[in-house]
Parts: sequence; structure tokens; C-alpha cells
Amino acid sequence: MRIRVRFFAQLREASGTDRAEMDVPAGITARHLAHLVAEKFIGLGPLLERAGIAVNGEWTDEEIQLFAGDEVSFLPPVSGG
Amino acid sequence: MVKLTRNPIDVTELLSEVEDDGSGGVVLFLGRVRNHSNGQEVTGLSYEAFEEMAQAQLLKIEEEVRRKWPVRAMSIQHRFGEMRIGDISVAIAVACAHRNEAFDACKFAIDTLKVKVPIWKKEFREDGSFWVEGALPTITDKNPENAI
Repeated sequence: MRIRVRFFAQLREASGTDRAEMDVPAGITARHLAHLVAEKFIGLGPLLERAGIAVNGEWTDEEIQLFAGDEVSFLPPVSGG
Repeated sequence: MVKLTRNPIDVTELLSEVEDDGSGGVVLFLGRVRNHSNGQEVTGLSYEAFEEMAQAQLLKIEEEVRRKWPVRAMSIQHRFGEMRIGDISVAIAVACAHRNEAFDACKFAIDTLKVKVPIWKKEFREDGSFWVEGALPTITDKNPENAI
């Protein structure tokens, strides 16, 4: 299935892009997707480990199951304010 | 009301949004770009936002504050993009009948914003530029419907 991935801040700079599309096995979790992203974008691993996850714009945990068309955002610890 | 903007925050305009004759206490919090961080001089900041999600999270914060305190009016504005020392990056105004609830509500709003709103700051210093890593929310709501 096809998943849309978005990167921000440190992750955007380290990956060299703010968006990617990935073909992944059906029914995988966000945690599994993070592993696939780390394989595709070398050097992102440590940043991904510290990142939070949002699916379709909502904070969630890494055990969530993904569905085709989902937008998964990897979000470094936020520092607004 | 909430606003995410690249433009300078107009505090007078923000205060006019919470004008209310029934409010005896208005608390205004301003977050400003500081000229130092961890002992290093900071010359400027750049804020990046996940705009759609940040806007939605700001609205959720307003809803939560209104559920918890008897807020009569409130406004949150967060700026992003390039900023200089002294610029206002965030402003929160809360109007309540009495001051205690206004102070508590405003503090909750800024504390929650700093954990849940997907905005990141990059500091420019003499020795380079660095992303600031702040906080992540604790995920307590595991209902998958919220993420689909």
C-alpha cells in the first residue's frame, strides 16, 4: 500500500525533502514504517528515534496500524513558543 | 480564536479581541526571541511550522482551556518564519471574570502549546545554526479512530 510521509525541521534537512511516498506492506505499524524510512534515508535513524508521530495530522503512538493513503509525519520534539 | 501567521504579532489587536465588559482580569503572555541560549549568544531565530496541524492543535488548546476554566474570551497567536531578537513569537490573551482563573488558564495554554503544537525553532549563533529540541506529548488516547 502507498503511504505519504512528511518530514519537518531537522528531519526535513537531514532527509533533503519534506515529503515522500512509500510503498509498504499492508497493515504495518508506524514503528515499522519508521524502520523502512530509516533504511531509505540513510542517517535519519537517530532523529527518527527521538521523533514523535502524527497520522493524518493527529498525534499518535508508534503502534498505530497504518492504512493506504495515510499521511504519516515524523515530528522532532517541538520547540515553539 | 487562534492564528498562525508569518506577520508580526499586533498585541493591541490581540487585546481588542478579548475585550469584554464582564471580564475583570485579562492575562497576556508574550513569548519573545531571546538573545541567549545555554550561555551562547543568539543572533536570530527561524521558526518552522507544520501549518495545518499547528492550527488544529492551537484550536484544541483553546477548546480545552474553555472546558477547564470559565473563560469569557481568549486569543492565541503564533508567528513563524524568520525573527529577530525581541520579536514576539507567541502571544496569548485570556479574559475571565476574575484574575486567578485567567492566570491559570493562560499558563495552561502556553505550557500545552510548548508540548503539542508542531512548531520548531532554529537558533542562529556565532558557532552555527541549531534546531532546538523541546518536548513531545505523552500519547494517552490510543483510540485509533482519532488518527484515521
